[in-house]
Amino acid sequence: MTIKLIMKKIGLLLAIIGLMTNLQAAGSAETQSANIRSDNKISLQSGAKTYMNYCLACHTLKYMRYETLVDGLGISEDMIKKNLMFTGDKITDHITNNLPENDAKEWFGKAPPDLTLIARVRGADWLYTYMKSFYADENRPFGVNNTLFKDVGMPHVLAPLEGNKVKSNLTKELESKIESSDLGIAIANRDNDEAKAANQRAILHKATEDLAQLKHDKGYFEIATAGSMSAQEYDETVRDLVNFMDYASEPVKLERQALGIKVILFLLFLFAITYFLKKEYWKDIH
Amino acid sequence: MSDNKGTFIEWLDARFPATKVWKEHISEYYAPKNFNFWYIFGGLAIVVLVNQILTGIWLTMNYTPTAEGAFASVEFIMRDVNWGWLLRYMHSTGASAFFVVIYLHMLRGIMYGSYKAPRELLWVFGMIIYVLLMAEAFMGYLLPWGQMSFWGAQVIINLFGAIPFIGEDLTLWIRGDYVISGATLTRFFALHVVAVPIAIILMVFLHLVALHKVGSNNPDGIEIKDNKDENGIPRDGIPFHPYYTVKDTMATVGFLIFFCAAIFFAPEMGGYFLEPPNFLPADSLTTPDHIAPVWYFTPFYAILRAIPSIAGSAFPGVAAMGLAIVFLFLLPWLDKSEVRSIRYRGWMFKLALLLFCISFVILGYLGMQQPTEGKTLVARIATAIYFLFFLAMPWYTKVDKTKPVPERVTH
Amino acid sequence: MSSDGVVKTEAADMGRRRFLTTTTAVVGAIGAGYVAVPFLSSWMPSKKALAAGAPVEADISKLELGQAIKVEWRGKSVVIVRRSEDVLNTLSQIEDVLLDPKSDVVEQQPTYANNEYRSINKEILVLLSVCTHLGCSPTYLPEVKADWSGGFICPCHGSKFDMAGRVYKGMPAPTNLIVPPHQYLSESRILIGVDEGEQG
Repeated sequence: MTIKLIMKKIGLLLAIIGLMTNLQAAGSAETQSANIRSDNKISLQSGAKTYMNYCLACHTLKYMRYETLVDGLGISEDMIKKNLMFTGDKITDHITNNLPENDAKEWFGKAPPDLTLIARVRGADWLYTYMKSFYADENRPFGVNNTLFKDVGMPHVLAPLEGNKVKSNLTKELESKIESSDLGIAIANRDNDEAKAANQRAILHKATEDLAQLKHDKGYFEIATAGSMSAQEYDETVRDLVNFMDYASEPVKLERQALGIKVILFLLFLFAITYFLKKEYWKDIH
Repeated sequence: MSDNKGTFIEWLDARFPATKVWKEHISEYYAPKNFNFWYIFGGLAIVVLVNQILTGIWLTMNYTPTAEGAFASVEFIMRDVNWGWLLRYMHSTGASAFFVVIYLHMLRGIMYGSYKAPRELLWVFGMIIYVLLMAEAFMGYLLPWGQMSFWGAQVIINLFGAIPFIGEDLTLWIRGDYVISGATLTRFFALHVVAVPIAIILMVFLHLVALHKVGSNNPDGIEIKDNKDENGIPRDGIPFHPYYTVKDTMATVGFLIFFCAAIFFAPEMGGYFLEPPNFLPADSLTTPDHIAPVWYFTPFYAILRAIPSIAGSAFPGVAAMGLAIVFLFLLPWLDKSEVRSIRYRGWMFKLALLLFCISFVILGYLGMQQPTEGKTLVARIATAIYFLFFLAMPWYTKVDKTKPVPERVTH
Repeated sequence: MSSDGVVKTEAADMGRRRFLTTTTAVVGAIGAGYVAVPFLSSWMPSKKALAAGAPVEADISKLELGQAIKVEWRGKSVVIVRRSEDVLNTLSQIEDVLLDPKSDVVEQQPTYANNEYRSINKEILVLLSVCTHLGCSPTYLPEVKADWSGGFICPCHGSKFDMAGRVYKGMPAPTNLIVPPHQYLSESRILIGVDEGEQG
């Protein structure tokens, strides 16, 4: 096998691996890209602050110690003690809260889960979209629902920042059209009315397209009551929060990648040496 | 080469067959000179086995094999143990790497007819190692005690319940409880860490003994021992050392590049090596949306699901899944061709093997998906092709028009 | 060793082979060394162990004369005593019944505690409450009696130590009680586990 062919195969395999590492980045049809920058320590600090102020009361990060944040966020122990910790905790303690599990089950129907690893379960894109998908729904116990996680048991904790969203009138119109044309197709099929079925399908198709366009143009929701942040500020806040949660799920990630580069370079060097060694000995073989 | 070394070796040889073994199996053991890329995977399998054993031992030093402590102990290893994260990733990536290597190793055997006489026992030993490896991986996957660990094990062990008469009792006996619990975890831990590794090491040793008795096959499928020179040395053979020690060293380093690329840049491999639901602790009250085995089992899982239940029993699917592996054992006796290597076989075998490989990959893909009517249909077709490869083999290997096999190796 | 012209070693460049083999071996050994690091290093104390072994703060603001308090550091008992002027004066008088009155065995205390009081602040005694014989925790007996000027007696085998933790002659215990590394964060706060002048 020629060197060229070997190189091509290696390139292909490395490309596949490269592709796999980015599988989460593109965002699926449902989720938007979070575009987090793992190496942006300012973003991580902001995210940590948001988490401690809004999330920690209910959601622990019990597999992570406060002291991890010193290197990970680039801040001193004192800063952590002042801004991110409850008094009395030690810097080596795990990040827990005082929420009694039984009370939590009673209040929320289900104990709020620990979130240390949630970014590895759901992915950054999902978490980012989730925090931006709450809207008012009077049928829910906390008055909100979520387009990504239907009938979620969590209140919209960041509502003071984002404000309260509702589905816009156009959204409601289109979703109603989709629902009724769906039903219309079923009825038409039952009645064997091909013309009607085709008509309903056309309506469904157009309404679905329009809805997708609406989502793309960010017209799906509208702000009913404003929060303290503009849409852009909120967007950045959520991105920073998700960045922090992604960090919490694997604090060693940046170190791992940095070491990886050194390892691969070393192995490439060693491969070259062993290649020449092999070639030299195989001169014997004819 | 001072006198001291000479006397030491003499002292040793008088008490232990050191030089004898070195000569017989390494420096004067003759292997065909035309080994190609497909022949690196046996050596790589040993490399990965050593990796799994060493990293596995080290993980055991900090892992807690109880239902209450297992999940947290894995995060303890990832965060609190110095370099624990690397040991963990080496082990999880190594598990998948083991199957990549083994599947390619087996494919080599099928392509070049390495299972044909006198190497039938060698092939059977290899198949035993494969089955042990599947058991090892299955039990190992329970240990992190994540959602997929728990529910994957629940589903697969419940399959044994489909076996007539003994099914229910069997699953109760395997689990040690009415559902997967700490009882199951502790016994899987003992088997995964001690019993099965010992069995694998033993079988690998026997596999190599059988190999050295008959000598390796080669890409041309001819017996180099049929053509020896006046000194009794195969004309197309070369000593394993230094030629294949040097080549396998290079191959190992090449493999390590990919292995380390995965470990350091994509340890989750898009969710195929470390599955997202497994980062949630096992919860017997919440079933994940989608339960599927790890990628290396999915072809067999797809076959299982493709076969419909008969009279309310899932046993036919379970039986088909088992047969899919049993048939692999039988290859040496199903293949009636006089010719070993695909290089000299006719179009029928080449087509059959191509279809077999494609169906295996398609089944693998389908095994990961939620079943739909369309996908089930495709799975059934692929299952049929898979089994036809074996069932029709006695016929097409006999009537296939082969090419003349050379006297000496070509390339 | 040749077989039908397949293997021709006569024309081989042995020098180049030696060079390449050696280079491979050396670079390979370096690689192996790096691979060994995670395995060996994983045996060092984990973050959990370090957290448990972290320095401990003791508050002596309420410690009365003659009183002793105990804190735990690295799984061991640390005793802190506030000594009176009388007790301090006695220390130099009983030197002839002590095995190592001048703390000549330097391993038993940090340099800043290698003085007549075996402490930084002469009033405050800080000791590891671990008998240097076989590790039992000596009992604090400050009450002065006819033949006892106050100190510690180990319940296990009877070793006696004075009010500076110095061992008496003829005891099973061979050395003075250990003074652990410690520093004063303020007059009333002692940090045990970190030497004087160093950062925690």
